[in-house]
This record gives sequence, C-alpha cells and structure tokens, in this order.
Amino acid sequence: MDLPSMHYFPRLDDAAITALLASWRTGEPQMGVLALLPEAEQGGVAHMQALCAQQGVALVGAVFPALVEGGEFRTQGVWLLRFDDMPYVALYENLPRDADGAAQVAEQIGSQIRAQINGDEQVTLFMLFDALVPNISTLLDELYLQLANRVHYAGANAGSESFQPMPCLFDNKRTIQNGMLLILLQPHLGAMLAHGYAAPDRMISATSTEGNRILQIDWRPAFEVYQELVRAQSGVEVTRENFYQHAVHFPFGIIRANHEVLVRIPVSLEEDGSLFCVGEVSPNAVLTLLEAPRVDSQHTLQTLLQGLKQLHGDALDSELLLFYCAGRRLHLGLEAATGELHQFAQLSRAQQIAGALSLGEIGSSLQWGYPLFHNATLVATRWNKG
Amino acid sequence: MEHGYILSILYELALAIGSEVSVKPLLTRMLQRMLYHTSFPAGFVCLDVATTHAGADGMLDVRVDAAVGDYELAGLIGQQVRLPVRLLSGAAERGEDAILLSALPGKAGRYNAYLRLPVDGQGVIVLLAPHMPDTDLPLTQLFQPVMANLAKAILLCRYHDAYTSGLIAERDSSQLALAASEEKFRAISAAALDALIMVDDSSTLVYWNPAAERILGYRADEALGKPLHELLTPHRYRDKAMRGFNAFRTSGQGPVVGKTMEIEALHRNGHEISVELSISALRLNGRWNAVGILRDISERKRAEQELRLHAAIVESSDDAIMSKSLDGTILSWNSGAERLYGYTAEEMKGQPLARLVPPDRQGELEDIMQRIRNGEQIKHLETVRIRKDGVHLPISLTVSPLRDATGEVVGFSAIGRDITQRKRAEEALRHASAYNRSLIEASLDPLVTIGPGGRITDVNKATEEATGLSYDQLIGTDFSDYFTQPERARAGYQQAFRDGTVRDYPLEIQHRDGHVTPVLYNAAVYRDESGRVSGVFAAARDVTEQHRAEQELRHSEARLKEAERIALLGNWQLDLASKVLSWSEEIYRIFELDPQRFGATYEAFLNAIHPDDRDLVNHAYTESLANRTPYNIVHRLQMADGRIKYVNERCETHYDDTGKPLLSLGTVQDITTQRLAELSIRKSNRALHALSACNGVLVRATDETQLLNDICNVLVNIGGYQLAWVGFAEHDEERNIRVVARAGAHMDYLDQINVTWGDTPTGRGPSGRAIRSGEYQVTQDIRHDPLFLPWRDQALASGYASSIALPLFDDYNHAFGAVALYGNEPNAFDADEIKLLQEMAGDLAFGIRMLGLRVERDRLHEQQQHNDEMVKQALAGTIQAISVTVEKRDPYTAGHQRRVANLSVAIAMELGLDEDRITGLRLGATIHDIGKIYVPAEILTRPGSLSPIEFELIKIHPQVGYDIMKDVKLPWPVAEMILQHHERMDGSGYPQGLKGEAILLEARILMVADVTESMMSHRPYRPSLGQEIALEEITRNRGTYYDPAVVDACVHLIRDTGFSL
Repeated sequence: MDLPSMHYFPRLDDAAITALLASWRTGEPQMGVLALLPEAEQGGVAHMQALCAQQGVALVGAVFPALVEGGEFRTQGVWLLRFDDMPYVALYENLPRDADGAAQVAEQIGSQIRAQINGDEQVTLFMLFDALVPNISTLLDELYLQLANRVHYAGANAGSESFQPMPCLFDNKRTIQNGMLLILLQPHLGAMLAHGYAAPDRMISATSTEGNRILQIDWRPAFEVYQELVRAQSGVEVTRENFYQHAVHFPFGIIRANHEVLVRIPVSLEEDGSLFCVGEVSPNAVLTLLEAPRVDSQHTLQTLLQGLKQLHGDALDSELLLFYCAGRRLHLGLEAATGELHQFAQLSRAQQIAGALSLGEIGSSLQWGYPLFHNATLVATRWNKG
Repeated sequence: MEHGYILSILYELALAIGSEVSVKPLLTRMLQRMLYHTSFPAGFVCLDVATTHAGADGMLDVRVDAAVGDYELAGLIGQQVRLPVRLLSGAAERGEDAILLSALPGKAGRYNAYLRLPVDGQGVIVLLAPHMPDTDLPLTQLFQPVMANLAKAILLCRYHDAYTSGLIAERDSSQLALAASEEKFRAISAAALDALIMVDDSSTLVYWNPAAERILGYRADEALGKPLHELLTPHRYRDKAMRGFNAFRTSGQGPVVGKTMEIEALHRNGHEISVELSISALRLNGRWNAVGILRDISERKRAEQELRLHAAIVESSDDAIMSKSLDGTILSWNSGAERLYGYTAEEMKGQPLARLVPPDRQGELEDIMQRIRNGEQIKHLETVRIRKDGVHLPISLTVSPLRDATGEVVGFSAIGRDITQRKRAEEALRHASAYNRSLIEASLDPLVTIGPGGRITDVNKATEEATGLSYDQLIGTDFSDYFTQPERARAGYQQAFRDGTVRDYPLEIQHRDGHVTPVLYNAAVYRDESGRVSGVFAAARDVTEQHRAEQELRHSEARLKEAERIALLGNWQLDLASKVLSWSEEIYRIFELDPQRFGATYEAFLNAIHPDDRDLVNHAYTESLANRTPYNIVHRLQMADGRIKYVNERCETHYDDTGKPLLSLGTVQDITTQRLAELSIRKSNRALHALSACNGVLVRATDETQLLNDICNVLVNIGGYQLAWVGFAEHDEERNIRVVARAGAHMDYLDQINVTWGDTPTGRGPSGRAIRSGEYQVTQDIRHDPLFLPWRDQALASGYASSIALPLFDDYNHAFGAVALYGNEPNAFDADEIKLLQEMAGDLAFGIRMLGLRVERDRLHEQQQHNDEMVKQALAGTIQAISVTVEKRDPYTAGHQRRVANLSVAIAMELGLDEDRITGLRLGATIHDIGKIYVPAEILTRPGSLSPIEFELIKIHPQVGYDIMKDVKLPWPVAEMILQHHERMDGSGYPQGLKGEAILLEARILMVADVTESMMSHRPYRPSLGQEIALEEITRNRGTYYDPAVVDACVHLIRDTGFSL
C-alpha cells in the first residue's frame, strides 16, 4: 500500500520531520512538500525551509489562522502534504492593485501556465493568496480570460486572523506577503466549494468601493448605512466599539442572477467609516445584508460531498484537503464549526483530512464553473490523486 | 423573486455596459458579467450575423468577436468559424442540445446547455454550460432590456473605434509626412557637396552637415556646441570676425551677410584651407542665427597655380611647343620652337601651319588635323618639317586636341622634337643587332624583352612555339598575359626592374591551346645608351621533366607518410658513422613531440620510454649490435601527461665488409589500442573470475563479517587488485566510513587515513562520492586527481596508482556503504571491467542484505516463539481467571470446570494427542461452562429438578459461551469446543445437533469428561451418583452418545490407572 501523503505533527519535531521526509523521498525521489502552518507557528517557516534544504526537498507553503486536523482546529503543529512529483509552482510578490497591472500579471501567469500544461490532461490551478491582497476577484477574472476552461480553479487565502500584515506564503528560500502562490496540480480534477448561506431578500447597492473596501452604500458613508440596516433588521446597535463582535453575524452578500450569493464578511472598520471586507467588492455591486444568516450545515456538507463524489468517485480511503473559512467559524461558533468538521470527516469516510482555517476561498460549486472568490465556505479536494 | 432584485442585476449590467467605449472590451466585460450572474461557465459573442448566408448544411461563417471561459473559442477571437445557424439565430432561448453544441470548434461533448441572447440586430451572445445551471429567473426575458442597451452601446463603441482609428491614422499620416520632410532635408543636406553650417546668436555651432565633416575634418558630434570662431577661424582673423559677429547678433546684418567671399578656414588637421563662403541671416525664436555655405576651393586654387606653372614649363622647354586653331593657324609658339624651326614667335603667330610641312607631306597634315578634330591624340609621329633655312628636319611629333569647358575640340597643341641624332644611332644599331638576333633565334629557350610598361618588345622563335602565337601577335602585348599566374609574372618583372636581375623564377607559360609549360625564368634589365633601364630581358628554361620527377618523388613520400600515419608506424635511421639520427613525421606524432621544437635525439627517445622499460630497450639494441641480429620488442612510452603508450619497435643494422656497423634502420609502431584491448580483455577475464569467485562466496556465506572478508580476499587474490576494502557509512556527526573488511598489500594504509562520506575534503574521495551520489567513482590516476589529495602521499607510498569505489545499496536503493579497489597502475579500470565490478558490488550488497534478513528472520522467529509462549501463558492465565469468575456465581459447581479439564487432559494424553492440542483442550475445558454466566444464578444454584423452561435456559449456555469466545483470537478452537460440548455422536445433542466426526475430537473428549465429572460430583439439585454409575452411563451410551475411543480411554483411566478427579 502507498505511504500516506499527509502527515500532521503536533509540534515541529526536527527528528521526526526529517525521518518522514527521508522515508517519503525513498519512495518518491521527485517528491515535494506543501506545508501548512498555523499563525502561532509562523516562526517555524524558516525552520521548515532549513529542514527541507537539508533533505534537498522542494517546499512551498502558507501560514493560516489555524489548521484543521482530526475534526478539530489546531493552533500548533504543522501539516506536511506530499506531492509525489513536485509540480510547477510560482510565488508572486507585491501583486499590482490597478486593473492594467492585474491584466498584465494575469497575461504573464497565463503564458507561464500554458507552457507547463501537458497535452489534454485535466489540471487544477491551485492558488493561495495573502488575504490582504485587495483585488483577488479582478485577478481571477483576468486569469479566466487567459486560461478559461483549460484549468480548474481552486484556492484559499492565508494570513493572520487579526488581518495584520504578515509574510504568509513561502517556498524553499523566500517568504512573502501581498502575493500569491500558484501550484499547478496535474493531473487533477478540481475542487468543490459550498457554503449553504441562505439568500436574502433585501438589496442595497455599494456605490463606491476600492478593492475590498466599501466606501459608500447607496451614496452614503458605508458604516452609517450598515448601522442603520442592522438596527432596522435586527435591532442591534452596531458601534465602533462592538463592530468586531457583530460584523461577522451581519455579512454582506453579493447578488447573482442565479440566486446565489457571494458572502463578503466585513472584518475591519476604517477611520473614515469605510468597511474592509475579505474579498473584492466591485463598484456598484448589488449587495444585501445577510442578517444573522441561516446556515444550512447539512446542505453545505451534502453539496460538498456530492460534488466531490462526482469529481473523484467515492472518497473512501482517499486523502482530502479542506479549507474552512474563519468567518464561518466565527459566525457559527467553535462548537458548531467543529461539528461540521466531524460530520464532514464521518460522511466523507476519508482516510485523512488535512486543511486549514482560511480567510477566503476560491472555487465553484460546479465542476467547470466560473471561478469566484468567496467567504464563509468550505473548499475540498482530493489530494495528490485528484 | 422581487423586482428590486432583478432591477439591481440589470442596473449592474447596465453600468458594466456604460463603462466601456470600445467594442472588444465591452463584449468581453459583458460576457464576464453574464457568466458571473448566470453560472454559465463559458460564452461567446458574434456580431454581424448574416443568417441569410447560411450554407445548405445549415452552417454559417461568422467571426468570433469575444469569448470567455472556453480556451478553444478564446483562441479563435477575430477569426472566422463555421457554426450552426440554428444556434445563432432566432429569439432568446435557453435549451439543451448536445448534438447542436457538438458543432462548436474544439473538443466535442463538453457542452449540453446553452442560453442564446440576440443583441438587437447587432449580433448574438451564446452562453454555454456542461449542464443547465439552476435558476428560478426567466433568463431569456430578464436580459432583454440589457441586450437593447448593449446593441446601442456596440453601435456607439463602433463609432468610437472608427473615430479613434481615424484619429490614429491621421496622426500616423501627419507623423509620416513630418518624418518624410525631415528625411528629405536630411537627404539633401547629407548629399550636398557644400558644407552647410549654422550658428546661433552666441556663435555656437548648431548645425553641421556631412559635407562640413568632409571639408573641415570635424565630425558633427565634435563640432556641434563648439564656438564657431575658435574652431574654424584662423587666429589672425579671429578678433575681427568676432567683432563682426557681435554686431550681427543684434541686427542680423553685417558687411559679409548676403555676400560670397573667398577666405581661409582652419581644418581639423591644423592646416588652412581655401573656402568660398556665403553667409545668410536666419531669425529663429526671436534670435539671429547665421547660416553659412562653404565650398572648398582648394582644388581650384591649386589648378590656377598649376596653370601658371605649366606656362613657365612650356616656355622653358627644349621641345618646340605650339598651339593652333582648328583651321591650322598658329596661335602660340615657344622659344623651343624658335630654336628648332628658326622662326620667331612674331613671325609665326597667325601663320598657317602648312608653312612648315614639306609639299609631299601636306596630305599627312590634313590627316592629322582630321584626326585631331575627331578628338584623337597622335603620339610620337616621326615625320619631317622644313626649317626656316630650308633644311628638312626629322622630328618626333605629338599632337593633342585642345578642348573648351564643354569638351568641344577648339584647337590643338603640337610638341615637336628633333630626332636627327636618334635616327642615325638607330641605323647603326640595326646593323649591329643582326648578329645578336641570329643567336637569339637559335636559342631553344623562350627569350623575350619587355619594355618599361610591361609590353613585349621582342621575342624569339622558341617563345612563339611556347605560346602558340606569332611574333606580330606577341609584340606590344602585355607579357603577363601568357602565364597561368599573371600577377606573379608581373611581380617577377617588377623584381627584375627593382633589383636588376631575377634568378630561377618559377612560372608557367600558357600555350594558346591550353597547354602549360613550367619554366624557370632568369631575367635582367637592359639599359639604353645613357644607362637608363629600357626594359627587361628574360630567358625561360623548360622544367617540365624536372617537375615531373619531383612530383613523383613527392607523391611517393606522401603515400609513405600516409601509410605510416594509418599504420601508426614511424621509421628512423641512425648513421653510426656521423651519429646523425633522423625520424619520420609519424615518430614525432607517436612520441607527441613538435618537430619544430625537438630534434631527433637519443635523449628525446630515451625520455619518452617508460622508466621501467629503458633497460629493456637499451639491452635489445646493444645485443642486436653485438650479435648482428635484428630485434623486435614491445615496450612502453610515458607521455608528458602521464599517459602510457605501447609500441612495437623493430631494428636492423647494416654492416660493412669488415663487420663494422654502418646504419641502423628501425620502425616504431604505436600498438596502444591493440594492447589496451588485450589488457582490457585480460582485466575483464580477471574481473569475471573474481565475480564468479565472489558469487561462490556469496552462496556459501552465513556470516556477514566472513562474507565481506572473503570477498575482499577474492578481489585481491583472484581479481589481482592491490587492495580491496569494504566500508559502511556511519550516520554520526562526521559521517565517517567504517572499514568493515579488507584484504591486500599494505592494508595498514587504511589505518593511516580518514575517509568520510560528507561533502568535505575527506568525503570527496571515491568512496565518499560513491555513497553520496549512488554512482561508482573512479580515480584513474591518483597522482593527478585533486580530489585524492588528502590520501595521495600514503596511497602512492603504498604502491597504489588508481582506485575505484562502488556503492552498496539497501532495499530502498540508498547507498549504505562502498567497496573500494586499488590498482598498481594508472587507468587500471576500464568500462568492461567496471561493469563487472558493478555487478559484483550489486551481488555483494544483495548478499549483505540477505544475511541481514536471515539474521533478522531467525531473531524474529525466535521472538515469535517466545511471544507465542507468552501469549499462551497469558491466555491460560486469563481463561483461568474467567473460569474462577464464572464459578464464583455457582459455588456448587466450584471446581467442576477445573476437574473436567483435568480429566479431559488425561483422556487426551491417553489418546496420544499432541501437547499443543492438549493445551487448547485444557483451556476449552476450563471455561466450557462460561455461557452459564447468562443463566440466572438462582437456576444454577437452586436445588431440585429444573422446569422445562429452566432447562431450556440452561441449554443456551454452549451458544452463549461460543458467542463470548468466538471473537477472542486463540490458537485453538476453544469457542467450538464450548459450543459442541453438549452435542452427541448420534446427533441428539444441542445446540446444533452435530453428528460423529462433525464434532471436534476435543469436544468429544470434553463431553465424556463433563458427563463423567458431573455424575461423580455433588450438584445443587442432587448428590453425587458415584463413579460406577458414571462409568456405566458412558459405557452404555458408548458409540451412540459418546465417542467409543474416548469412553474406553476414560474408563481405562479411572478403573485401571486409579485416576481420581
């Protein structure tokens, strides 16, 4: 039987990690590693880089608010995920924030990716962004213009749950922020995404935005309108002081004509009254306030598992990679979120599930769907044999 | 869905439409937003869809104007594709039609659903999806208003694009015109012959054309930005010029402005040149600039000077020089003419020329004048003229036409020279040379005389024969034309002129029929009476035969050299009298010496011989001389870089009549390739033998240390290597290599050295590298391999010259050690041998692994046995404990199970069952009533008979016992024993009603022991029935209920051996 491709270490144990890498390399000489670390272990990045350098193992990775392991959220340790053959990876730093710059970077990425794709094989462009990149949706739109349905799209946002700038993406030598880590998984059939947030009825319009900041809603200062809406809909008085406590329960939704919403959780209130969200809000996007949204966990998990089954067949005995949105955990509470993890593990019957608490997710609820940037979702895919 | 919701989507799409001004971004953005909203992953737009042009096959040629989400379609943007008209035309429609969509370019079958949205006369949008996306919106109607707006936006964007293209075209056209104008000016300026320069109001040069560069010597980059006067104005004029310019800069006027003057200007080389300068004023941006056009008139000035000079020359000439009009009227008459003809200039100017011409030559005069009118020049015409005193004078006359500025002949000049003296001398010479001529003609060698211009002036008969041309054809022609190498011929002629003579100058005469005659030319100049060189006399000697002989010799030598080169065979000879040694080229090649730098010396020869073979060679030669016999030996050469060559040397010496040695002749043949091949085969054979012996060792090996030492011994004793050792990689901090076996000469070498496998100097030897890289590593010459430095001195002292290390791999293909071998000469390991050694190393590693496995297997086996025993003991203890637990609930049957076990064991021993089976039986019997744990204690312990229901409860205990024990992994069928201990041989037992052999032997024993013990013991519901009743019971049912052999054994035990419970 093949060696498991995923291993969680509860602490960064040099000897144990070295031994694992050596045994992996014996079986798969061309292997590489994706390392996922919680932000409490951020100092361990340099350590992992040194260990992998010693072993001559190719490394990429990211730092997230927490890890997902054994149906629990973990704030210590490290996940090591083995690529049997190190795929094409690229680390982009200081991504441009203007539209032309985004188009240029996408063109550059498009040509590099096209050169790496073998024949007609199905491949997945797996993207890990620094959560503080403000124009991820624009970059996705531009990438879709370049690569269209030649690749599947999936990914998640890394960084600190406090949304403080932090170098959170790395390879063997570099650790960067405000950037993107691309991993071209091939062959790979893509990932599945679901959130189960119910669609709302009442609409407002974000009339002025700047990347992931909403400056105005209905032509008025964003926070002022936000306060009014929350007050009117739920009687809750949101102030500057209690903003962080309530905002996660009153996220915005961006409306789509298929009656699906893209959740945008406001995570920071700026001095000028603008609201900083995880994920871009396009100018004049039609928003709705998701008032203490009802989350259908059962439907979320069923959608996710059904999608995975369609992609990969029965997930029994497989190894899965899962990203769970930090905003969803805040909204549902730790107990319910952990319950979802447990249930997912049980229903999927996967051999192992590795993952992280993410700050935004990329994917689609359909195979070959338009790649979108989401909040509050679960993204899952089969690891290594996707 | 509420209206607000839909309106907000339309609002968002309308904003997207309104934010673009160009068609392509508009369509792309629109598609992106539609895909985003509808969950269709791909779509395309075609504008100007003329459905009336559809073909008979229902297909239509359209252009893809935008595409998003489909890789193949996106690659076709701007191109014509052929699509089904049914997909493109018609009202808005949402449908599923895999066959229709399979007509799309690219991989078929990827789409099954589409949404068609016509764009109000402008075109159509088609969205595509593998499956129809879920939506509760009427998408076909929803987007109608958007499509109407989009159609207008497309129209506006098209106007905008066209307008923008127009502006761009106009701008490009203006830029082209400007560029053309600038180019034209640049071309004119560049082509101008006159210098064109411009200075600004600070007299700084701001324009400088190519002609200015040519005339004044400065490149534009050197001149521009420099002050005009410092650069170009001669020092003596500078102050005045600068004053004048100061006045000009304020008014744009000055005394020289608008005028042309001749002045001097400074050239870059420091010389002054004459220029004609025109200056004009130019006002730019309110400031006065001066533009100057300069023409270099140095040539004109020089021509004027020359004209004056020529006039003086004409006047001072001894020759009669005159000029005439075309009708023959004399216009000028110099003093030479006065002296020659006796007339003064005054007498002759205006007179007809015919006055000087004798009556019988008037026709000649007419002829001359006609030729002159035709522009012809007449040179050195020997004729006669009449002096003033009537004497007829022989003269040489050169007449040239005079032309005006347009080239029209307007007159002619004539130069006349008195040749009376020369005519006399020529006559005398003619007589004198008749004799010489006969000698020349008699010569067999081609002879020729050549004038100063290279023209042939005379030839003899032999020259006519060599060239195939007649005397007349040859005279006056260029002599170099008759040689195959005209340039070379001219060079020889010039050399003769320069040096006075040329000797044995090789040339080839080309006959008119193509035939070539090689000749050696000897030439010398000949002079006229005044000693001036008149020409060259050249005599050619035909060397055809000589060349043929030389050519033959060269070919012969070349063939010999080629043969020697191919055979790698050189020859030498030693003149024993003069001691002169000579080598052929091939010997130099074999010895790798440069013949330009090294002579053939005995020292060079000896130096090249391998030191170990020098005595052999010396001895062979000495013996050969002493015995007067040839010798034929093979010895080695050692090259400067240490390489070894093998040569076959043969020598034979010639002697005079007295036996004195005269000349030694020898050959040296490079046989390195053959010898190395032989050595390689020999080595391979040796390695093969070693490999075979190693295999023998491997087969017999039982111990790793012995195996490794035996292998090392085989490699040294059979393989012939100097040293063999095996090292294992230690995973300590220094990464040491631990020597685990060794054999060979100077083994203490290994005690002196430190070898590791880390990437450090001590880890870069063959063994360290072999372990690190997993590849074999060879040091072919220890002396010159820098990586061997840490051990070089000890290795050389031990007689090792080369080394190889081969990695040993574990099951995971990791090198865990290496086997190292040393040879006593460089390059000891060749490719074939290495292959065999690799095989040996692989076998050795396999042997080590197998021995390791065997040891491990033995250890595991032993451990397994031990574990089994432990398990059995633990199980026995556990079962005992269970038994006690059960019996605690039923104190009246306390000891029943133990006693049944004892009796069962005794019966089994009586029946001859093996020890292991008996152990299992003991355990089964010890807990055979474990199922009673589920029978209420009051039933078990209640005195008196049981009711049928109670008995039924009791009867479930074998099944319960089985259920308890069935999942306990035991090496014996304990659960089955428990299940079957109430079965009976005739099938009347419970719970399964098994019969005969279907019942386990252990259960058959257990049932007899159970019944016997039960009847012999007190039970809660009755007292003991006694031994005899019990034995009678089992004997009575022997063969029906109970196994006869078991009954017999039990009866025998109790009755005959005194066995007691």
